Amino acid sequence: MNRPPNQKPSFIKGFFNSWAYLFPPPGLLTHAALFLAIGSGIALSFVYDVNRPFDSLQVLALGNQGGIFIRAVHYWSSQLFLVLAAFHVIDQLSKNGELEVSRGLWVRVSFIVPLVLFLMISGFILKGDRGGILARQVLEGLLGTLPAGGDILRFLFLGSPHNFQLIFIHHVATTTLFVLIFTLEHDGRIWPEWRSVVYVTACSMILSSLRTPVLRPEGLEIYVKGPWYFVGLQEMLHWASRPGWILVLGGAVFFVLCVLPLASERVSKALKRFMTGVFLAYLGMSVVGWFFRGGDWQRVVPWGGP
Amino acid sequence: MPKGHGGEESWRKEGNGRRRFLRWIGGGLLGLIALFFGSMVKRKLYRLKSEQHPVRLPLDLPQGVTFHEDIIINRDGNSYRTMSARCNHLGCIVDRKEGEHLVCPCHGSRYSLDGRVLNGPATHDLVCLHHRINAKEKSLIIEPPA
Amino acid sequence: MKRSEQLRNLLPAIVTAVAVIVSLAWFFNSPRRQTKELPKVLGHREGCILCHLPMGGFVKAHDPKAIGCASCHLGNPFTMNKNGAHKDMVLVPGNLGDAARTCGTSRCHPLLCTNIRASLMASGRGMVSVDRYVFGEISSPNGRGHLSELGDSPAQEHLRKLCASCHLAKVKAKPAVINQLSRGGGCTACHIYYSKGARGELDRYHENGKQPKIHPALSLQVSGSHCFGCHSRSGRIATNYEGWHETESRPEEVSGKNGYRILEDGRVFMRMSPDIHFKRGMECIDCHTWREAMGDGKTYFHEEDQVEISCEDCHPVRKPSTIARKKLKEIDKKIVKQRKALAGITNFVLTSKTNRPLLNVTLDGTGNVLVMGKNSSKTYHPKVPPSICTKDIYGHDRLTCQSCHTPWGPSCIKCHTSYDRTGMGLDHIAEKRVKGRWAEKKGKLVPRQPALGIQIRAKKEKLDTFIPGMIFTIEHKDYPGARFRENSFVFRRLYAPTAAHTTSAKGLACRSCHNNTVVLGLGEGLFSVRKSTSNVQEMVFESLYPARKEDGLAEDAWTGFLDERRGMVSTRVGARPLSAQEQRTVIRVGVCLPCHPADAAGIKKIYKDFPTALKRLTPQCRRPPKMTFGRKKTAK
Repeated sequence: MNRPPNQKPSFIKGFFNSWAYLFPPPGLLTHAALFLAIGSGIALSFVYDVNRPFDSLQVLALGNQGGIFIRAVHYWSSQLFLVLAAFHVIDQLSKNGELEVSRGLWVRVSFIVPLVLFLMISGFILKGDRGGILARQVLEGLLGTLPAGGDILRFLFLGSPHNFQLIFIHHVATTTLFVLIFTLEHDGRIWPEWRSVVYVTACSMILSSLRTPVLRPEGLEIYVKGPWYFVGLQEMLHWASRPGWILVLGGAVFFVLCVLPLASERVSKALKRFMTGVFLAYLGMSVVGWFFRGGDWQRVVPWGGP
Repeated sequence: MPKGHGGEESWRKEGNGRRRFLRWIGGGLLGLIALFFGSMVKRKLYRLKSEQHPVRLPLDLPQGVTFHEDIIINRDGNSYRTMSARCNHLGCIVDRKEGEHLVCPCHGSRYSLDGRVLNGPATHDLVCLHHRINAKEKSLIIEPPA
Repeated sequence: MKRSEQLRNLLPAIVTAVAVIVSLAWFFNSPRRQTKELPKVLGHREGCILCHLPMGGFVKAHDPKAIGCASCHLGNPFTMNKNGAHKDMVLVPGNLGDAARTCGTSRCHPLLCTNIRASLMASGRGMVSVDRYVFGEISSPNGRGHLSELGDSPAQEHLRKLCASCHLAKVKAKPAVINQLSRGGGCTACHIYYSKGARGELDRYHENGKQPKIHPALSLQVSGSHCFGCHSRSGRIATNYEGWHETESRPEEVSGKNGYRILEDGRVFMRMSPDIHFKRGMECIDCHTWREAMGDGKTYFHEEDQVEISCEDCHPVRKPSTIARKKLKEIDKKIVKQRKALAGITNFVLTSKTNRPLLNVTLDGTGNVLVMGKNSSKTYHPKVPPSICTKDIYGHDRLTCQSCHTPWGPSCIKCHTSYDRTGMGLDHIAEKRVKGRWAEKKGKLVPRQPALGIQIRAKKEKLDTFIPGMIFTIEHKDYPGARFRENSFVFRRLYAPTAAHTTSAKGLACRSCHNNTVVLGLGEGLFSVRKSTSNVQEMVFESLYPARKEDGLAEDAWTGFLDERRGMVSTRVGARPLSAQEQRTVIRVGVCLPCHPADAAGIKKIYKDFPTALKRLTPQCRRPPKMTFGRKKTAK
């Protein structure tokens, strides 16, 4: 475990060096994006009704201009948070950042990854439209595949069927709190850096103005795809007749992340290559799922033809 | 603290011991709450399951396939076949018929009209549900899945 | 200060400025409509209604208050932004390419939208197969094919340029009133109805973009004018039905003259006797069922296979079977519920061919058939066929009703079709002019009684009506592709079975067939019995038209006199002209008719059992008949 702490592979080193020339590091930007998402989410909760989620969003979309913008900012800030968090993880792993914190803290920081994924998917489900309902069914099914306790886990994460209350609580409170605590703990600061706030807020506002996220009408579409970051998972699930193995694979990646500080240099490199391979494969599946799948997840050719 | 009696060391040891004791007490108390929590969740799950009531539908359903929430009814003349609409892959609701197939919207699993799996990723047929006919009320009563 | 530091300080300011400008631009461009109550339809809110209502013209089932706008026109009902709301909107929802998402969703009409794809009205399968068969590209007229999926060959190019607009799968790009030139549009080909007000609103919309206040009705009100456009082509059954026959005249030649009609495409028609059903006020859908038009899910080769009605259903020989209203299928029940005309019917007559209900045909208290006009709500009392139709007359067992009740049908002879590689032709699928043109040189268009021939129906031989649709030559030596060089010039002599839709109330006189060379399939000409040079009485036929060099038969003939013509003789498998023996049988009766008319006494004494009557020939009858019938060539 004697590894020099600041070695970086050349390509990623070049990329983040260029990044640092103009912009704050990804970690600071992620911190700022999290705060913006939380702030805009709190604002949105004034108009969101958990008892009729889709309807309350429809009323917002049709009759509340400010609400439309706030919802858009919440959406884009959360997408930015996810993307920046991914960059931050890559950046930190590339410079052996797992060695710079205590093991306990590293495990807690690793937990942020599944928590963030749950935060994102719960937000998607809370739209209450056809896509959200299908995503909930898939998640319920996935959790249900776990032996000994799948039903309980399903209830603990998603609550009673057809009821959004618990998902809402987890989204706005439980998961957000844990992500916030773990983020602040490893960041060492409470308030985000001002430049990061400006960049993240400005980007969210620009994106919100240019591309306001639309609600899709339930029942008017033959097929829906999940959120872009889970399309790869959908593709994997299409091939997996035993979807529980997908959870096992995800668990393995998470386990690898947690034990990274304990590994020797050679093993650590191998594990990082494994995680990179999984990540690239997932990207590939996402491309397939996004461009080459149509209704009922059947193969389509995006440029037309049979 | 006088030196020579273990001094700060002994106090620290005492402090460590007290901290350890308090940790055990705290852990125990949290464990007790966790037990209550577990019992609460178990009870709730049990109540949810027992709240599953049979579904009543009119007998005069259209011929062929009807989708009703998470149930599929296939009527042929006066005989009915009732199945759970939950796809056996991940539990998505199968809510569409295409030609002679029932199609799951999530990952494209296909079933025949009587629930046999034809195309994956699902590997099992749709679960058959028990039903009975109440001739007096002219209704079809479908039991929830076991 | 280093450059990077300067940039790092400046960039946030620039980005902030851009964000503020873009957000303010969004704010001021986004609609700030005063939203009163946000309407809810089918469980969701509809922004469309806020901008587009009030709008009238709908029937109850399709009122936006019941189904909204987005369930048909798609788009996004959850935004007040015009571009966002209209994104991915469908202007004409009935087009079959969109129907699965619009008319055919699981909440609306999924069964019909599935069935219609296999229907002949959508695919034109028979047209494609017959055309390719005639061109010699396939060996049977029973083939696959779809007018929207034509490939590359002379026949398919021929269809693309000349025929492919007439099918339901043709896309209708813009909203338009149904007229004689309308083609395609899927569901809206039949089910859209523009009232006068709706027409005016549509015109105003095309002129100045003003939002229409009256929407066309989507209803079951399918009138003859919906069918007219496409069915005034090919067999011309729409024009026949109304009593019009196409001429070769130009509009300016008949302008102001009585007895002519000029269609919107410039064709000139002359007055003939209309179909008796038309005279009585019946529309196409009063006979034809929804399953015939939209399909029953099965794939058929030709239209007579898909048609499920027969004359006997309304003019029964035996008491027809019926079905009670409560036993109808759901879809039939819905249709009956929608139509006021059918409200009082409790029992429905079943078709003899397919045993399915005719939703506007019932029995009255005394067991007589009653037919309701689906749109008109009129009640018709169809006559029961007289005994001459129902009791066997020798030799008439294979006749169909229309054999005796079709006084005329269109005849088209002597056409030449050639391919011009350099000319430009309208591709009806691509909807643009492309290189390559099929030039048709039309021959004579003559209204005359159809010929009789044999067609196989339900594995039985039937004597049915046939018309010359394809006595022509095709030449395509310039068509690109070496594999088409062979057979680049073909001559065909094919008659096609037809239901001419010119039904007469009274059956034709016996002489109309037995003394008619056209009915025999010989074409027009003079038939006579005369002494030959060897002093033998012989029957002689001189055709009016010259013989063609390709097969020695007259220009308009189907078969030769006492000929056995087989092989490629018709556009249907198993169909053929009368054999030599059959011709002799028909003429033998015809020989007696001039002296022994087929009145009631004559039928009873002679024609009902003709073979027995022949045994009772008097010496007078045995003399050679001085008999001629037909048309003689006039010297020029």
